[in-house]
Amino acid sequence: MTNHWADLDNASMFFVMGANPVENHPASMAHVNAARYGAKKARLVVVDPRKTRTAMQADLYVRIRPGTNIAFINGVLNYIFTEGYTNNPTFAANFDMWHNSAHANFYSNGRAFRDDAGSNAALVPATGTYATSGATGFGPIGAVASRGWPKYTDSRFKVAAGAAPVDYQRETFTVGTRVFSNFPVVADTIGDPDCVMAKLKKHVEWYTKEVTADICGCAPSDIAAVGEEFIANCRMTSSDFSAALSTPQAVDYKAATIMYAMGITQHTSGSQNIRDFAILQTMLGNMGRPGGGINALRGIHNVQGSTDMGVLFDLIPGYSGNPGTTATWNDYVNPLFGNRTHPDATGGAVFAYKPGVLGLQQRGFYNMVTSWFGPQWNGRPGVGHTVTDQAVTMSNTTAKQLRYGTVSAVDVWSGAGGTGTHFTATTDYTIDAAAGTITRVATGGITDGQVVYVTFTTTQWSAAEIDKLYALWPKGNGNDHITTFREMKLGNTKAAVVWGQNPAVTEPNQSVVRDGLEALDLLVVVDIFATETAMCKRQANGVTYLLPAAAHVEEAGSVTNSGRWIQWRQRARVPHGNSKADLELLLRFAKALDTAGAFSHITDQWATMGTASPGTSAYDVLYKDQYGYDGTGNFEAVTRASADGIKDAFGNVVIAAGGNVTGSEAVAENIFQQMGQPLASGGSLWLWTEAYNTATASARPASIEGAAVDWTTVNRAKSRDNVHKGEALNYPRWGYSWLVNRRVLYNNSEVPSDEADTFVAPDVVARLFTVHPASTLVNYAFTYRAYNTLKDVPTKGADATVAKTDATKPHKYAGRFPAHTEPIETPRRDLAHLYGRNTALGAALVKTDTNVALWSNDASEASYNDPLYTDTGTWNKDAASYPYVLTTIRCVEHFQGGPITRNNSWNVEAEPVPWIEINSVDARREGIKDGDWVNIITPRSNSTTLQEGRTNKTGWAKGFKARVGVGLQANQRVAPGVVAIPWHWGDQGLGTGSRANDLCIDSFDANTIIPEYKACLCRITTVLSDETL
Amino acid sequence: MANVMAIVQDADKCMRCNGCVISCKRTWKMKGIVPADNKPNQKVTSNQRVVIKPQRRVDTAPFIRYSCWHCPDPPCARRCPWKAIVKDAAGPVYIDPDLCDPAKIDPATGLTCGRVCQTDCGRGGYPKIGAGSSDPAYLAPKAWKCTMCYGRAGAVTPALTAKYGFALPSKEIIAGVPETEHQPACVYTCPAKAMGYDSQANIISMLNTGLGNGSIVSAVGDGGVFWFSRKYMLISPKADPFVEDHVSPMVSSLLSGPFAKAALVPTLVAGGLLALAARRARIQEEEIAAGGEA
Repeated sequence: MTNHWADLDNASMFFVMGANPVENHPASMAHVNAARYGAKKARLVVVDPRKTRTAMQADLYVRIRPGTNIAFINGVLNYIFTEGYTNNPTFAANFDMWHNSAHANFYSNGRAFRDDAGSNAALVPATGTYATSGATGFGPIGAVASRGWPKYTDSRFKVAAGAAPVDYQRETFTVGTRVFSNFPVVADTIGDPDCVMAKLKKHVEWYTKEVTADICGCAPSDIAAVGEEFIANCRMTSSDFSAALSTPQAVDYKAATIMYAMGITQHTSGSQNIRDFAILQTMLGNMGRPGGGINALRGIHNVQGSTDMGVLFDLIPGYSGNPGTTATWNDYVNPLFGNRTHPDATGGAVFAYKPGVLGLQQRGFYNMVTSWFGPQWNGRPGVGHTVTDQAVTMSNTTAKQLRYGTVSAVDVWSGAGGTGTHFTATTDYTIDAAAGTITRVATGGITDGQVVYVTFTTTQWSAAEIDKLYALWPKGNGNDHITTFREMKLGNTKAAVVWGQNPAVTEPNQSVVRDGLEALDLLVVVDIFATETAMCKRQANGVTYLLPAAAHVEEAGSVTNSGRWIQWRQRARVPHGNSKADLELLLRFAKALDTAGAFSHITDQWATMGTASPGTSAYDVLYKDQYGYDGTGNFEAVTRASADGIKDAFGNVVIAAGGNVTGSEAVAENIFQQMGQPLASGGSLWLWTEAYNTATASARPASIEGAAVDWTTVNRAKSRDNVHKGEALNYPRWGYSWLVNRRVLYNNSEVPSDEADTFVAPDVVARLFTVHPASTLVNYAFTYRAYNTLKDVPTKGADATVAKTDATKPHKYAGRFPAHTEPIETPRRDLAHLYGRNTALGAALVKTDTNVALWSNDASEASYNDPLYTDTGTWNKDAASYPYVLTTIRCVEHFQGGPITRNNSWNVEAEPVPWIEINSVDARREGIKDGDWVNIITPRSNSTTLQEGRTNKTGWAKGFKARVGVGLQANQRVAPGVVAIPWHWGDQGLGTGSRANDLCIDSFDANTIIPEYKACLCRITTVLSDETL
Repeated sequence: MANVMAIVQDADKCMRCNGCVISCKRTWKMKGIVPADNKPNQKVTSNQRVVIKPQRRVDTAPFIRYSCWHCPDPPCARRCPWKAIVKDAAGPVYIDPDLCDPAKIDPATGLTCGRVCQTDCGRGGYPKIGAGSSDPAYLAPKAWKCTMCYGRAGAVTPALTAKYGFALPSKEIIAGVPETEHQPACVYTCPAKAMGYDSQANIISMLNTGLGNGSIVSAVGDGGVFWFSRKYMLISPKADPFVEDHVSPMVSSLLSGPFAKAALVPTLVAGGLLALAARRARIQEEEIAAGGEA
């Protein structure tokens, strides 16, 4: 979420697409209701293939075909740019004024850039000057100033000419002796035919109301209606346009917020769907505003936390990618969000080893490497090591760097090993202890150019030591979750630890998953229940363990919610019976692995580091010394003093501040402290910097409170200060919101007292025109980060040079702007042939192994056109025999793969069995009555007979109970041609039933590897009528 | 004097998340009925005292909560020979499980109670006789129903408070209504904030003014439970929420026969006209009752 659940109160329009918050995020509806039924009378607009319970409450509902989200949004954009613009003069005038920066509020007045020599300058376009940090060298800055630097978006940036533009136009300008190269050329107005806005308009021109309605299966008037809703609820039509934000609670404060969930992401075009949201909201000025933004409704209380932790195969904590297999330290650190580390005036890559000047994400990685692969000395006073005989060439009276950090006990000799002349401080040389430098005194005994040998104590790693620790970092990516099960099936992966997950229900195309799990030599499942995964069919010699984990209420730690708030969850009690907290299990794992020699490569490397060697036991140095648990003993015996103590839900003190906490409360806080400390103090997770800060004086500003108010906790996840309810501030001192407690992301310092935002793309504006396929990182901004380009472009119809009138080339600038593509399996093959499917990877979007069969019914097309996809070979090749689009859904009573809720009698009573939602038209054609049990068949599997034998239970796979629509088509849950089934069920627990994921296709989004759960083809047969069961 | 308390449901906000149902079960230690036990039925039973039912078929809004109405003059309390059912001055009608005993024989008359509370309920039968909870003390059949969580507020039945724990604190304390310090579990839980707990007088005043701005179009209720909506509700909350469960199978079996098919259209036409006439008559009565022109 760019905003927060609590900020929903401030919206004047909710655009819910691909989400069903009424059932899947019920707590959010209190906020939605507050805005809808309050003075604001906010609107609720729902776009979804299914008339969900959310849609039943909506002011406007539009039904679309599964997988046509981009077409719909592009259609809305086109409507806004054309008819909407023409019909709403106020909106049009303000739209132009905002994008043209024609008002002082809409251009940037303090962006920092870096000149070619590496010096920083704060660019001040408003006055046509720049200032260095030293406040010298004022002067005109040339062309940029006259246009005003855009504050929000690149809509006025000019795009380089040519058939396939890869970048903006760039220019160089000179101010005095300072040269700034690679600046994007900014057009005077968005009327410029070369600018990004013009390109975007060109791109969406194709998506007229009629074209869009044909793709989406809605009415042309629906596009207009949604477009008008957006126009009526955006920055351009809000009472605070061109004024400083007053209060978002004002009745005529307008902001539309987008709420989305899996209905948007679980497509082969998932990432592009969200990019289209970003473009729409940025165009309308809804980003960075209270009540606006793009809000991903996370499915679990700590999904945001798990992604913060980088538990994906291609990420490390803090959303950094894995270092490449050959990446040097500097190669990896430079493009992280922070400061440019090369080229650099002080000599290139050396800069990357200076912790004091590394920026946020860079410094976090530095701290992570030093604390995860060695004790982190910097920032841990009292821990240091002695460096013997560092050779330094003294020249003139130039300061020479000993370490990029504090040095002490310096001893200088002319020869190694304390031989030759013993020089004297002050007389022969001077030491700057804090800066870690030594300087020759011209009048002393050291001659100019002499090599001296320096022995000193330091808390700071040298560049060579950093390189040795970095060498321990695993390089490259592992397997994604789709590939993993195929590797198991092929025998390349022989053991798996499944921790708090239930892939035997949740992964698509279960045929492969089950075969993969069965083939493993070793399967370890860590869970609170015997899940489908733990009880799956295994090969005769396979070994399976189920380790009893504690439930989440039995262990302490931080959780990060959808809105990025980090909050501390205390444990309600110690774990039941022999179950253990996840932290204890993990640390015991680590200890056992260390004992078995798995960490010998680490201790071997340390042995080469001489006096800097952290130790001889990897477990002791990396875990026990840092987190307090020895890996074998009584976990509950671990204690620490907790600065904030523990309070119960009603604020009563359970353990006083400063008192001892034990078990997971203690270990979790040890880890949290390491991650959340200020970066300068060694915090290892840049995203959470200052979430644990002993300096509690970071105050709520006097501008709000009348007097400054301090934090009341050191561990800010434990902060429970609930003032400023429902304002733009979003409870600024409740928990801690990354990044640096920012409550509304991208707010451009317009939200009073919320921190100013520079968390944007390399060009310090929202970058809509991404570059495909290569990322060109241009070295001109002071703070910048590499951004990742999306990997996918449509397989067909893309051509930026052909006019719209060429009916075979619908996509202009595809890959730069989102373009409609069809799902891999689609009933509209005519559209698939025109728009293509979404992949740069071709057929590889459906992973293959030796058993795979891909089939096309159109030999003239490439093999991945019109595929039906299967691993089993028992399928019908007639595409027409799979007439329905299968889309998966969730219900309020069950949770994810179901181990918790299907073992809870209350939930099982409410929804005992899985069902299928089907339109009355289709039901009549198939001869299905309400309550019948039906079998669903896809090319991959069926939902009854093929499932028996894959588990230790029988009789559970009865298919799905039909819920046939009643009444008018518009009031039915699904449209003709679409069937919806919930996917929470499996073969274990109190409530069992057929799995949707036996049927689903494992094609996926090329960027995120999220499977296309929301669209594949199927057919239906009746199994039994309800009465016979 | 104590306020008379009541629960009010905003039917426009209810989304049938079943949070109130599960909260009720959790509070009163009732287990769910799982397929292994018998066929689940989603009814008001001795171990399910509140249910949410859609007013239209196939699970679409508006959703109405059904539980004991806490009648102003409850027939169940009048007829119980053991005086186990009490209409409290503060509104709730509750059954004292220590006094209720369906098997008990009256020494004077030689009769049992005859389970009159179930059959005499004017609202469709909310007191249900059966096991009350997973608490061993209440496995023997007794009459159970919603108590508005009254025992848990600590004011009345100390026996219940001891068994079922203390009341949940309030999320919203209403000025002049000290009883709102403790909310019923269903109201406390409701994530959509679709339920309120207030004095009956305040609720009626709110309904009469239409939330203060006349936005309420339809409202209904009595005793301790009220409903309202900003839309015209096609079907007002039924006394028996399960009428369609009985009627629908009957209708479909009728429809499947040859005679029914022939008779369907005339029957529907006649029935529709009758329903229309009845509706007109009722609306007229209401207008008269409201002081309008007849």
